[in-house]
Amino acid sequence: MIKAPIPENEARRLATLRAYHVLDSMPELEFDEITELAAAICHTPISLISLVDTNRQWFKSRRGLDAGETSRDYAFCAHAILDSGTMIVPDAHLDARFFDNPLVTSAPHVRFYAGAPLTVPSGERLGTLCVIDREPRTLSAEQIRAIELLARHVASRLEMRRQIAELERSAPEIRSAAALLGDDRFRILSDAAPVGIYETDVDGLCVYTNPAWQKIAGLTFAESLGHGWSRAIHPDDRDRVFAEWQQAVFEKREFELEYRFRTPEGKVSIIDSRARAIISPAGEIIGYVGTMSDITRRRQAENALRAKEQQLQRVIEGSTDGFWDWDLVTGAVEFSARWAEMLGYELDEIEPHVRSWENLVHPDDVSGVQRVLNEHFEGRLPHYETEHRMRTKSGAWKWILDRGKVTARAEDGTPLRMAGTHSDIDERKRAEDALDRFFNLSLDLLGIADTKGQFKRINPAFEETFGYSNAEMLGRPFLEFVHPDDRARTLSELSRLAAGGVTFRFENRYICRDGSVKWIAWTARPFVEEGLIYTAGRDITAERAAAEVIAASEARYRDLFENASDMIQSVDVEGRFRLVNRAWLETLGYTKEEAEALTIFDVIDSVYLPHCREMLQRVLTGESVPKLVVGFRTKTGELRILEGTVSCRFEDDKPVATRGIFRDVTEQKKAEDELRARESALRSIIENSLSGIVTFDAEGLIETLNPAAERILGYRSPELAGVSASALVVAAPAELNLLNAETLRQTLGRTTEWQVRRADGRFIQIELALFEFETTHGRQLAADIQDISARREVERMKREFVATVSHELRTPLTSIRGSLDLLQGRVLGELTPAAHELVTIAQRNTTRLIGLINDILDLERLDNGKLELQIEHIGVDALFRDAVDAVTAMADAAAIGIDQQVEPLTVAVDSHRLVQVLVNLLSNAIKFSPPGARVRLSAMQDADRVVIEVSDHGRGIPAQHLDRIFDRFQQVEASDSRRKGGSGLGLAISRALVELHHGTIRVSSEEGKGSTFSIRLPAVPRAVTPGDRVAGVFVPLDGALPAVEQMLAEEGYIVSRLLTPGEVLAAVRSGHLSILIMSLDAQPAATLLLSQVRAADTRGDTPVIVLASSSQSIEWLSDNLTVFLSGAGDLDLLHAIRKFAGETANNDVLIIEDDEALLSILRRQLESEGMQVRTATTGGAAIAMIRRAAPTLIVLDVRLPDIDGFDVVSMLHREERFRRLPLLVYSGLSLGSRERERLTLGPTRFLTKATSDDAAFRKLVGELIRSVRAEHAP
Amino acid sequence: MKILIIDDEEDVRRIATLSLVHVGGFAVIEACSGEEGLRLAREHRPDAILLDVMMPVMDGPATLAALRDDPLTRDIPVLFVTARATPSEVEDLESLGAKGILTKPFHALSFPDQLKAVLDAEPPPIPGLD
Repeated sequence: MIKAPIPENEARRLATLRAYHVLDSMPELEFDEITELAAAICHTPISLISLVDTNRQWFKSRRGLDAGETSRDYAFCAHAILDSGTMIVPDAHLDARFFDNPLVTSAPHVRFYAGAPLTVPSGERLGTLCVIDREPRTLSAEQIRAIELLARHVASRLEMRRQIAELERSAPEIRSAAALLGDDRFRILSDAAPVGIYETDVDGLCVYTNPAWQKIAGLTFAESLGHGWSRAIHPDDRDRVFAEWQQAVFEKREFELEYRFRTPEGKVSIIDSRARAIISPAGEIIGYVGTMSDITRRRQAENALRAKEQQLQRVIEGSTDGFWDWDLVTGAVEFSARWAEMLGYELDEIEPHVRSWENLVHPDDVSGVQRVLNEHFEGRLPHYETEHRMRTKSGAWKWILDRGKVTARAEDGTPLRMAGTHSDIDERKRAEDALDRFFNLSLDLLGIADTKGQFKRINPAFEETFGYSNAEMLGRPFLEFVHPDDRARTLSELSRLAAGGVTFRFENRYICRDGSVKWIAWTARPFVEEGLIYTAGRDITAERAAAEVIAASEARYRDLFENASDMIQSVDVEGRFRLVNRAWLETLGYTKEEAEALTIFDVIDSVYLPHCREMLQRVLTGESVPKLVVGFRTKTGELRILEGTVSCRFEDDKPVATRGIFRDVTEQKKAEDELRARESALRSIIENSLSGIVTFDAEGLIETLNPAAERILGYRSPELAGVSASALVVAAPAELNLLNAETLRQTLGRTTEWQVRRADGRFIQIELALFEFETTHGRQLAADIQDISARREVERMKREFVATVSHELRTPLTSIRGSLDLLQGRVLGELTPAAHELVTIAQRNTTRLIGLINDILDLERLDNGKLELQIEHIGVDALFRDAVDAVTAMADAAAIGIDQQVEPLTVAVDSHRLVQVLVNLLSNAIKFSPPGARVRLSAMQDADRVVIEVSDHGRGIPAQHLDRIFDRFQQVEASDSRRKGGSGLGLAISRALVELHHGTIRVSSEEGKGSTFSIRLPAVPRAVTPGDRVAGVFVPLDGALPAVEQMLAEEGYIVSRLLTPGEVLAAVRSGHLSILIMSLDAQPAATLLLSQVRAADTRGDTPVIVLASSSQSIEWLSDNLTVFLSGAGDLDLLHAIRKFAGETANNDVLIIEDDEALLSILRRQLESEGMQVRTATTGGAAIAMIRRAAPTLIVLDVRLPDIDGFDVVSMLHREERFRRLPLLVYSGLSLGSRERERLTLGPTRFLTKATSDDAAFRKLVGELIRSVRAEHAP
Repeated sequence: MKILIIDDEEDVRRIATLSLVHVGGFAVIEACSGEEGLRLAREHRPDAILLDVMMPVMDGPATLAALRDDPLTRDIPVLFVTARATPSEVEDLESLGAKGILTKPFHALSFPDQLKAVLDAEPPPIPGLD
């Protein structure tokens, strides 16, 4: 339960509440009507007007609830007044504040609560109007509104009441004067009257009390007015009085009731009060007038009389008692015979005088007896009663119960005569004494309590046990000492006792004076007729704590034992199972009963028996045995292999039992065996494989080599363990610009060729197939490697042979061709037509043969990298011209037209080779086009590429051939080669040549419609003029960094996209680069490239920024011209770029202005201040630029074409990182304070265009920049 | 115009001769080796020399060097006729002081024109001679 916090204005609130004089006032119909209305509207059984007092909530009106008030600690309303709104608790069970609130857990079982605060005009919330239900529910908006309106009504009604009361209090004299004037005789009479007289108005507010009333009530006239009079009513009687009053008003009858008044000093008097309504001439009740008399004395007299009667009764009944009748004036006492006999005397042995008695009273008891007697004489005790000892005739002491009463007094109260009895209580007293001694001696708690729960008598053990003095313990209900958690139980036990039940052992906790808690076990027996309970208790705290510890540990061990997944057994020295756990039974398939009938030798497999016997012997001699592996047979005869430990328990140095803990490892052993077998098979395969197998660990470092790999690489496996494979690599496959796990993975599933260095330093060519395999640690990489050096050597020799042969073929071909040319040219005379035809055939085939040989030679050179390009800058149109010239004759012959479309574009190419490619493509197009068709040759620019296309409307290429068309000796149909006169090498050569130009060649084709070959070549960028800043950007694997390029462009760089490491080096070598940005991964190849860049950088000062995805294990060259940004943001990059550009940090200004003229003025001004200026002409562009890299200062025009300055600022405001940006707002009109507030970001200044001059502008910019620098200063 | 052809392949010599004589109208002297070529060059002082690159004993470059060493022959324009014509090879051969390069297999009918075109061209600067 969460108690409501005390409102901040509590003192004032309580003062206000008091000022309303409403607490403890009588119920008022008007308020009752409101609660009735609230309950009806909200359909709740309970509705209250609750006022929250210091420690309670008091209900001015209550419907459906008996209690007139409850503790503030539990009050829902105490929470509701914390807030001005209506508090709704749909389900108290689900509310942390209330779920365990006693009003929730017990009657009235609040589940639903809705309370509207009563807010008085001074603003304090005095309480609530609330509705309560016993079911979880909620209220409609209308219902909430209704109770809020009613709450306001209650508040205003309270206010009205207060004002009326104040008015009345302020003028009591006026009123009484007026009353005297009006009816002075009545007033005089009433002032003198011995009875209390009062008058109230129709609402029960007092308007008059007479002095007699005031005397009884202990209140002044002023205090009695209004509701003040109700303070005189004894709190215990208040409800009763109000209820009767209401009832009387309701029934329009006279009010008549006997109740108690209590003065502020605490004097209680019993009064008899009557009142009747004053009816106006119109028949309306206008008030009430009443009288009351103090009947306290009468009642006391009645009580005394009653006591007297009882006493007489007792005298008559108690025939065994002795009588005495004492004349106090003379001292003469009349003793009865029994009186004397009780003390062992004859009556005549006793002088009939009080002296006789006085002499016989035990000296120790005299003073006590005297005291009681005096108190009675003085009227403080209604009668005299003592227990005291008297001397008997034999000199022994006898306990006497002496009771009496003054029977006659003088007028001044002086006692004149007194009578009484003596009872012999000696026997009882002695028994009591004996008991008392035991009682006081007992270490146990002995006590007598009444059935209401209060100790009447307790022995000293209580004080010893609980630390409270007897007085403290007797003064309060014992429940207060009981632990709160045990109170309910204790109460119910008490009520059982009160009903006559007997308690044999009841345990509860008591809270001791020092705060400690003690467990007490009680036995108790009630004596219903006496209303007493006799009880004995014992402190069992220690016992209980010990028992708890034992129980807990037992339970824990029991649980461990029973639920252990290991098999646990306890075996006695004969081998019988004493105890086995569930895992044991489940594993071996026995029931508990079966197991108990077994011995250890029944379950141990015979193979293991000898060993087990030996182990058992060792254990029994106290030796400790290490891990034991044993075979047990299950009930069904199955063998289970167990692994575990056995130990022996000794008692008095004799072995009692062995304990064994085992784990069933059968499956594990089986799996291990299988695994071992499989592993050994695999190992044997790998060991004997002719392929070299290298495995890598998770970091990509070499793990193992198989013997074949050892042979290939010349290293022993351990020599390379943990070594990076790249240490061996001399040359990686060309397509891998970078060597890292990511790029390597791209080669998964295909074969790549590498050049590596063997242990002996020899370079060898290897073929490598990377594959992944699953291990228990995840996926692991391995490589199958083959030494293909020999194969490559053979291939090389073959190629050289082909080249040589081809070359050698040319010489005879020279002769053949020359001869045929001369013949065909009729140089040596005419040929017959048949001879001419034959010569032509021979000549055509010779030409084809020469073409074939040329192609083979070209390919051989391309393969060996021996084909060199003579790069020159040349117009595409010139290339087209040469290519078309070369095929014109062929086209004419085939009746094919050639269309050209070319833009003025320049490429950097070997024109001879590019023409060769174009001729090849054009020839193909012509060859495969039907007569009369047209072939199209075009060139255009696409970004930084020149795209050359050769398209035809020929028969097209079937889709299934498209991906092979560029391979060697590939023609769509085998017969094509011969029919169309091609070598089948043309496209392979074309592709190789284009790629040598860093270009790509692709084909798209639709069968029957034609084909288009597209060559994409790097365009020659616009000529770089001196002073231009060129930024090289290298992203391997065809990637791009558009954001970086954009940023560089914004920074005024011309971006040169570098596509291969070769281009990077060439660009660096050229010395044109102002900066080089490379996206590299942390791999040795990257380190290599970086070192090559440094070597190529003849100027020696090209800054390099490396964007690395991670900075781990990089062995970068460290120099102050290289910056590594790992996972860096754009801003870091910008700073790095600027750092190299030699710019000071923190002077980056972004001007957002759409007026170009103004923009250029601002730019000049800021640049003259040494600022680095970026500009944006729209709000959208500005936001994008700021997001990319936040400037040091923003200069903002309020009016912008797209979104305005307000929007820009509010968008920047949404992002934490921009909220502190300094801002200079530039506007056409002067801005109001609200507008300025909306336009404020970090340090912000405002300028009006019309009124500001350059100096003002510069001053503000200077100020802002300084504030930025100050902030960035260390 | 008198042309000296130095080539160890007789057939090639014959075709070239036939082409130059019958198509081009040149006078032709044939030599089957570098040594013979040197001798005939001194003897006949031809207007141009067509020199095969690959020849046994004394190959084309050696023959050219010898021609350049002899004051009698040093000014005669020499054209290499080669079956190998990668750009770097052409460059190498030109750097030796050849006037031009003609490739084999040549087209017999246009061969004389090619020769004339090379001879009519402006002489390239020859390193070491100026």
